[in-house]
Amino acid sequence: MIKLQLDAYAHLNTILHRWDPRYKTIGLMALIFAFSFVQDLRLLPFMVLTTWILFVVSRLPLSFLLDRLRLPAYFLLIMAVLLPFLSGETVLFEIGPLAAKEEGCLQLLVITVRFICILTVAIILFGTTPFLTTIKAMHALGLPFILTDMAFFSYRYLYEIGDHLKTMERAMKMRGFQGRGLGAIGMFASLAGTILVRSCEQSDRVYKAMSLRGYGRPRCFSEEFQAGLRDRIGLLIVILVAMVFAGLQFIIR
Amino acid sequence: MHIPDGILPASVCLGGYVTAGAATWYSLRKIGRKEDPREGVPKASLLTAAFFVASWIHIPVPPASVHLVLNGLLGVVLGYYAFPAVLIGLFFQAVMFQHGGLSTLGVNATIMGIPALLAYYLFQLRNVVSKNNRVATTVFGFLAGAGGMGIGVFAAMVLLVTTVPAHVDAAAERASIYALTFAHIPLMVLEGVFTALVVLFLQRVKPDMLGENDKTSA
Amino acid sequence: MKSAVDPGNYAHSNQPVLEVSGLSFQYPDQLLVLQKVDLKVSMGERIGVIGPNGAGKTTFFMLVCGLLKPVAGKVRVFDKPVVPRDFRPEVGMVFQNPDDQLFCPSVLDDVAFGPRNLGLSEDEVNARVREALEVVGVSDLCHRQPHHLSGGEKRLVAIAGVLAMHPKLVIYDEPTSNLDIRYRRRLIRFIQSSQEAMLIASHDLEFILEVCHRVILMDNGCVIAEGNPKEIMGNNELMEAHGLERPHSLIPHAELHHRR
Repeated sequence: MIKLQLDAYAHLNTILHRWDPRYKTIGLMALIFAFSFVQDLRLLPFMVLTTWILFVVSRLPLSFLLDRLRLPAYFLLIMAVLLPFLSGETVLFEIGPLAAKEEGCLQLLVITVRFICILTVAIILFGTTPFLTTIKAMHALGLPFILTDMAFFSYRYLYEIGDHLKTMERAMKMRGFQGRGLGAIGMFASLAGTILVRSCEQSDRVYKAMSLRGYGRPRCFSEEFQAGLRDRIGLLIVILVAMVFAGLQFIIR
Repeated sequence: MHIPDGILPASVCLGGYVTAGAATWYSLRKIGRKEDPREGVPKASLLTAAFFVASWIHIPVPPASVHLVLNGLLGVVLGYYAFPAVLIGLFFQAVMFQHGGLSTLGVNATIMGIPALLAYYLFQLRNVVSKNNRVATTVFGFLAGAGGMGIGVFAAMVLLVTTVPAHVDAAAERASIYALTFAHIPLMVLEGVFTALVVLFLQRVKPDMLGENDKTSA
Repeated sequence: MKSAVDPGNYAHSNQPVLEVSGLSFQYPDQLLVLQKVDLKVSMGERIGVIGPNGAGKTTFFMLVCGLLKPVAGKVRVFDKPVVPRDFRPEVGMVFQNPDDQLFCPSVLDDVAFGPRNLGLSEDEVNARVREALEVVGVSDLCHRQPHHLSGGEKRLVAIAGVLAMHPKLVIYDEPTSNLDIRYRRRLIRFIQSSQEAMLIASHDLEFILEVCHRVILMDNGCVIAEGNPKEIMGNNELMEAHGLERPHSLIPHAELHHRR
């Protein structure tokens, strides 16, 4: 079961934490995209340096970062196994019948570094502001109300529905269901169907409660973000860095 | 279909955001045409959460266990809200578990969300045959489920194979795409069967969840 | 100190908060769920609504709120007819399951939801939220997330969310269900010190005795009896005829039925 430890360090007090969430979102997303442009090996160390600086400033613990890098790293592992052998022409070394090619290895290096840097920046972005505040910031930036409302309410009921699922699974197990055999899929389908029906019925009641309190009138969630000069300067700096990366890559190519 | 960050080239990532943006715009427009677009929000939100949770159900398939994508079912049940639901679900997964990337959010949403919408349209075709016919429901449910997942997987494979390895020849690319997609056929069948079973369950228990999605105002 | 509420004299208030006349409702192609219900509620009056399951209590509440459209009859709040889909913040409802109305991911956002929709300024919204949380006594919960709260805490936060809109009539649907003794007592004290008019449906008859000025007994969609809580709930024949029973405290203890 997920434990949203994402907000675990959102209360710290660093300039990243204090940065206006709207500007932080724009700035760090721009940086993420700039990183995804990078292909030249010579830019990689600078990417790592930039990321490292941001990480140090954020004061997020290393364990927090490594914990979150673990799962997606498996996908990378598959790439690591496949890429060097599939991509490229110049042979570097051989393992039995398989030939590891230089282009593939270098590409793997680029992908790995990009992966780590982008993920770290993403974790910094979402780890230094409470999740809900980030959603409100996106709304302030212009995200349509249907998306922000859906994000808000989905998040609210996520845990509850997760608990319903656990309760039902436990009840099934206590009545001897082990999940094996052809009939099992039917049971799982009923389980999924039940969750969907319950959620739908609850949503009717929730909508009633919402309309009684005025849902549908203008102004749903408005959190007033107030940006100061520092926030704007921060955004400028980060955007410049992003542009430098993208620009250099473009020129070098 | 949860492609992580860093693997795809930037142009593909940006292209993904463009297509996702377009699909979102299209879906929101269709939603906005309804009598009361906000009426569907609580239902869509809770069902987004429900699908998120449902995708954690592990079905033991020896020797391992799988968990299902269920984007076809999502399309059938949510209609036009399916695309925002996919977008939000993927966003949560990217932020909470780093399952799927942020730069690739657009791409992932496109390859998972558009098939969901297609599954919705496909399922509505059963009205052409006969709404209450169990066989029609089963068949179209299966197609929606298998198709939704299958198209998504195919698109993901095409993207990965064509954009990631730099110097592979076209024939090898094509062969690997077909091989990888072929390897997913058992999973597609499983998704199709599961979707059909859930759809039958819903038809029995709460039929207005299936296809009362269009209360459009004139 | 637990004492039954003095019915008092509320007839002197000039305008009834709620006036229901001849209210009837049925779902299409189904039997009548509610038949010709009449009721008048004055300012500050607390009316208990008792009856077996299926008596039509919840449907009645939905009609009063404007969530359902009656088939016949009228509902007027402050002499203005209640039109379905109209926003009437003077009427608030506390649902049976607090999870159905705590739909925001944080307590603060949830209590602020109503005031924001009233179009108030950010400062006014914050003031209302603070006030509502204080009145209900849950200010310390403001930064929590609803799914981490206990049943009693959820109930109180839900009430705060309704009160933040400054309603004149609050409808409670089974408010003491799933509350532990402590929270039940807190709720009783809170209601006794409130000024709003209330409609309270509950199976907890002792609770109704403690907080309500008047009681209506419903069964099969009709109002069977209306009046003084002690008289109505003390009438054993009446109660049993409609799927209820006398609350224990009204059983005369001249009858020795406790074994030492």
